[in-house]
Amino acid sequence: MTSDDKEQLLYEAMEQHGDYLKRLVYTYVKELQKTEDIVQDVFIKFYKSLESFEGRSSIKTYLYRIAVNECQNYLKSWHYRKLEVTEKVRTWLKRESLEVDYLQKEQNQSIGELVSSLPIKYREVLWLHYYVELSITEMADVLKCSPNTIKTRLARGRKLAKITIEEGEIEYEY
Amino acid sequence: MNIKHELERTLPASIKLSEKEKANIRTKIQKSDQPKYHVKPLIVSIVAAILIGISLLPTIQSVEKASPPSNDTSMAITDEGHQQNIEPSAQSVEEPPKEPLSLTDEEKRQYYEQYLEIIERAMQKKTGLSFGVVPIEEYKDEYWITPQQFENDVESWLEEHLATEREKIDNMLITPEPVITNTDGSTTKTTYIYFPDILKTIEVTGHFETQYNEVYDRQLFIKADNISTKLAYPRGTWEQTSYRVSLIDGGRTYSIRIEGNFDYNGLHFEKAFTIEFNCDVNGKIY
Repeated sequence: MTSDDKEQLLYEAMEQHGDYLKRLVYTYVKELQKTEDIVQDVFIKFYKSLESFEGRSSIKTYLYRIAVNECQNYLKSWHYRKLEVTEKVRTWLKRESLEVDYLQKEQNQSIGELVSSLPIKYREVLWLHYYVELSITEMADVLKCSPNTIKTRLARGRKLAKITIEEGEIEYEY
Repeated sequence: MNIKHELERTLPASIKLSEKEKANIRTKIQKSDQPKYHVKPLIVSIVAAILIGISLLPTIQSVEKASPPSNDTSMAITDEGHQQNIEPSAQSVEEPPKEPLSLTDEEKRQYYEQYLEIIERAMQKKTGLSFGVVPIEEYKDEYWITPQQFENDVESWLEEHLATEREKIDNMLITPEPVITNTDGSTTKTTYIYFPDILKTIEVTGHFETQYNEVYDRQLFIKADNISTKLAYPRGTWEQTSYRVSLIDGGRTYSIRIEGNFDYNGLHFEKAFTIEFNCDVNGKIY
């Protein structure tokens, strides 16, 4: 692959997938500046690894696989865990008031907020499926697990969101 | 129900990959693609490092013998200064696995004093970088390591931190934000400050005066005051505590060192950084 080919692919990837990819990364890290850092790293890694890209998956899937990998690495990092712990401590301190507010909040939550409150393994499949519009096979490729696992997570994710929605007496169609 | 739309509503307004970000990515790729012809200096550096290592070996061994034992680290580190606990590092790759040290109180006191000396030396490597060790009473048993291990941990953390800081800030400054002249005559320039895993954009504003200098036949700075700072994106809080202005480069540049506190998600950082304002021959500040 020539340097021009690689640059063309990079250009297309940034133009076609840049916005969506950035939004997806944000759903993982929830911090704008960190999102920008990760997106930058993703495209650089994408460019550098194009030499070894064998074309067994689409460019889109390949790009999202790098992105998900970067996000998961960040979430495993010490700094993030420390932030998360801090947040948990704060949440614990405010637990009583949170419990009081919980039912009320649940009633008013939109489907997006419900999805955001799900554990990451359900959240990511819902985002990849409904937002990035990847198929089951593509998601399996991106998340490096079997299509059956994806199906199960997708079904559970839908169910979890739906159950909460039903408790809020709102009907949604999937 | 459009689920895609519903999901998008949970995101901050208009998250997009901006043209500036795209340009940064391209520039960084171009930079990394440039061939490296610096083999000679590299070889010289490696040889020098080996020679220094050999010459220091006897000294290191004698220090190790003279000093009592210990285990794992807990430091509060301030990078101009971050105040955070650094977890015991497992980075001493070439060292044998760290066994918990059983130390007497006297040995602990001696080790603690050596820790303080080590971080004092490390702090001198960068202006404004300050470290602290948690009080000896709060030192858990598993924190104790030998002074040599402690020094290795500090150095590896410091090198990694400084390298990351340089890289992150350099990347952002590839395409710098424009310097803005405000309606009140003050000038605002943007820079970046780095905390572990967070890069914050900070705007520095000041009132500057320039004057024509006959000797040099150009405008030069004569005054700078009211230096203030604020975060470009209000995530976390920044409080400026002091600043110091130095006129350098024959009056063409103000070098301003700013100190302040940054709080984010329950973490507290103290930070100092330096920014330069320049004036051109016509008195334009940039």
